[in-house]
Amino acid sequence: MSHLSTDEFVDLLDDVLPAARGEHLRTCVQCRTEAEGLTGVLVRATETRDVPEPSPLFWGHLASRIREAVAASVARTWRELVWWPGSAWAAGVASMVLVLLVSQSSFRRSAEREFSHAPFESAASRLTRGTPEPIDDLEGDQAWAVVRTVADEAGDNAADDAGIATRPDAAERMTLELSSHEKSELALLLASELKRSGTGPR
Amino acid sequence: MLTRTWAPASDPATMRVRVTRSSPPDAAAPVSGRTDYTALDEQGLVDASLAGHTAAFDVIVERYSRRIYQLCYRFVNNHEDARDLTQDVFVRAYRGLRGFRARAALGTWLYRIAVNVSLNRMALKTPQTEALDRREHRDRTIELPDTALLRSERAAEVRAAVARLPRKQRATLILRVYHELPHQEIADILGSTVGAVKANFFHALANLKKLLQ
Repeated sequence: MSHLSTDEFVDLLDDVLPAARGEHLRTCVQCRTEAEGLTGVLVRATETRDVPEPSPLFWGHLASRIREAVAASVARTWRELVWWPGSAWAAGVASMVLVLLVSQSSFRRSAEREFSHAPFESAASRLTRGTPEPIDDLEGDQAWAVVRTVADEAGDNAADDAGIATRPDAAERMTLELSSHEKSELALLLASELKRSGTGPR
Repeated sequence: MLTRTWAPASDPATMRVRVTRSSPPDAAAPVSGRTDYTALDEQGLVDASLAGHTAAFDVIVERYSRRIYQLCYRFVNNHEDARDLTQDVFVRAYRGLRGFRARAALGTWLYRIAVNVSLNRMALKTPQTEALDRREHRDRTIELPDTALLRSERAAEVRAAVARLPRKQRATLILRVYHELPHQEIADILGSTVGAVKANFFHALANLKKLLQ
């Protein structure tokens, strides 16, 4: 007759091992030794059943502390609603466009002067003219600098606060991992939005 | 569909609940001007909690907090973490109540949350061994009878050994030995099968035996 399986040893401890298999223990020293060892350690583990009681005040205050914690988590829900439904990409692009719109609107007048005399021309400016040329020095581009800055700020634990499990600096890393083509596409998207809203550089 | 607005206030006692359409369970009949939620069964308590009746969730907390605390303590072996985890379990449960519907028993669901948060906590920090600290404190202040001291030491050894078991084995052992749950319920809690639970239980005992030798 074969030795008891792990399942059968557990059944033995639970006192539900079929009698026929129980007979094997009478003749098999190996299984009997194993069974005695398991029984012994189970008895010993059971001796530590009691858990020390916490302070009596703990039970009295637990419900109110839970309500307080729930209320605090509900207060954060609006941030989750902003962040959760879309991906980090959508949230990142949305915030970038928003911030760029605001910043371009605020600095429209000065930007007009600066762009006319600047040694370089921004990607957004070129794209809004309808000539999406390749960007030679993207990292030095003014519009792309805005994108990187916004992404850096967006990654500042905002997702963690909103209860979203993202990698640290995910938004910033996202911008670093984009290819040149993707960066150009993002700049084009921003420029199109600027052109549509009439707030972009002229 | 129920619309619930829970307006948090600085004082939790003043939190307001506004329910635009709710259906308080019939069983929760008003008693002396207050609704007696203790008469409700599990689903009734869940429904009432979802309808924004926080007192119903308090009853859930009252019914299960001790068991959840003991389970958490078994994992972390110290009161401070066990208290935090217990609170965390119920906060997560409240936020996930809508997902509880049509699932297993409420207790099983709460145990599952407790096991998960406890295992996560264990992964983040090395569990303290409060039992040893407490024993040392006693040694200096109270002369225990030899038998009690011996029992305390043996208990500390077992706790330390259980703490060294692999995660699944540890969870299985705790749920089986200390909470006396059937294998099927343990499988439900751990998202496993009865066969896997039995195998984990066997190996947990075998490893515990080695560790205690």
